[in-house]
Amino acid sequence: MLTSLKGLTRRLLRSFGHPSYTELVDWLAGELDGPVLGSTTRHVLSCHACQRETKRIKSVLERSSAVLDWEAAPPPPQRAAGRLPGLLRNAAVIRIAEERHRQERALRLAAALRPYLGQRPMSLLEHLGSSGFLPEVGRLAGVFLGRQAAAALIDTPDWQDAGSEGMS
Amino acid sequence: MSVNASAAACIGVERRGRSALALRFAGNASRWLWVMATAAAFLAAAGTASWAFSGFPQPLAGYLWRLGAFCLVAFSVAEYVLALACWRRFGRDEPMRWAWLLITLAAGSRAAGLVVVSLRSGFEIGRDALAQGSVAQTAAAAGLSSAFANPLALALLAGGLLAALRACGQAGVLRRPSAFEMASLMVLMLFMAGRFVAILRSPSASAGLPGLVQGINASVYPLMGLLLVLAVMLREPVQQMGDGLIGRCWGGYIAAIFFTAVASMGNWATSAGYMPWQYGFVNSAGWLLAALAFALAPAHQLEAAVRARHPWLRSS
Repeated sequence: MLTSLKGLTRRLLRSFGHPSYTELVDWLAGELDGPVLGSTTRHVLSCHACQRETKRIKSVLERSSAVLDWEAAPPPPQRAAGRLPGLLRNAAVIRIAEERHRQERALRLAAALRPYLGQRPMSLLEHLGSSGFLPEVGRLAGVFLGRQAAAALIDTPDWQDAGSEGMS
Repeated sequence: MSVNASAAACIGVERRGRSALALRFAGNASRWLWVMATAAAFLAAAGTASWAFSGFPQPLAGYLWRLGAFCLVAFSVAEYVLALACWRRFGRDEPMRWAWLLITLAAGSRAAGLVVVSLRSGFEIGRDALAQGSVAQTAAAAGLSSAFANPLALALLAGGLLAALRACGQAGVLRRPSAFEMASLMVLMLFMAGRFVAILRSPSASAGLPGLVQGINASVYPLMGLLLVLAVMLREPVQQMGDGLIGRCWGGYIAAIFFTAVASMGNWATSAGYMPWQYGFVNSAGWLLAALAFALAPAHQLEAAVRARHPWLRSS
């Protein structure tokens, strides 16, 4: 009876008493000390799940540091030339994604302003495109709704600059 | 309203220390004005229906006259309070602040004039004069005009609309009126100016202080002409923002100016004998619709500003 109770307690402690992910990372990096270091070491040595987790963390850290080393080191000319198309392609993809994000934000803003300014924000968006839309619609909302009300509707930091320029 | 919106309302009250009830009232100001107008129309219809059964018009005339006077006063006081609230929502260096200040002063002067006249006449503005016939109708029309569309209120309103048009120019929503519009307005302004000169040169024009008051009252006509020009210029921004609250606000002023002009011309037509005095109720309806439109305009502006700043009101 006593033996089975001890076993149950051990199993429960094992299932609920695992060190956290952060503690395991700190333990691997050697940044734990005192009683936490002792208990974590004892637990990892006795727990198969935590040993597996530790190995996984270790491999991720190694991969990350390898990538960092590769990025930081000046690559040889052949490798740099090989990387160039990829980098350019990434930059183009990022630019497209940014433009799409800006357009979606402008559309959302025009829809949010419609109960107040009617179709005017949407026609501004059609005429100016998403790049010139934000300062212009900010000025429009600032003039007719008041600066504070407009700021409550258009709460983007880049409008705050555009809006203050439009007001002056 | 949803539970979430109610909870947000409570949080808003705690944080800002303002009454959620007052904010909710301000966020639906136009709705309350429509309720008031509908109630007045219902009361008028009920009175007319009861007259149809009793066949005794004298009490009905008094009833309708008092109801109309009460509505005029209520709408003008509401307009003043709402315009004041709109003015306070703009910062010191904002272009629309001047516009709303002048509009508030115009509403205040109109409300003060109407309250004084109503209290003096026991809420029967010009009724006795109207009942006595067409000669007295002239005096009634002049009295009503000086109280309701008095020159001071119109001049202040014109100043407010000019400031608003300047702000519209800054926001890039203004265009020049077309040649046809300008030509029509010139004809109208000439008519208004002609009326002004005719009143000043009429044999009945008094000398001294009464003559001065008569002259000031006569300036209503050129001022109405100017207001019509401003209303035509406001049409473009209103068209561009038509289905929004701001478009409805300035559209309300255009409608109010139009109804005021129609009622003014109706008064002139009645006093000149072109329209039988028994049809004076058409002029009264014009004044009442103008008062409603004047009150609805700042109500929409206030709704827009309050709903923009308090997101929990947008769902209600």
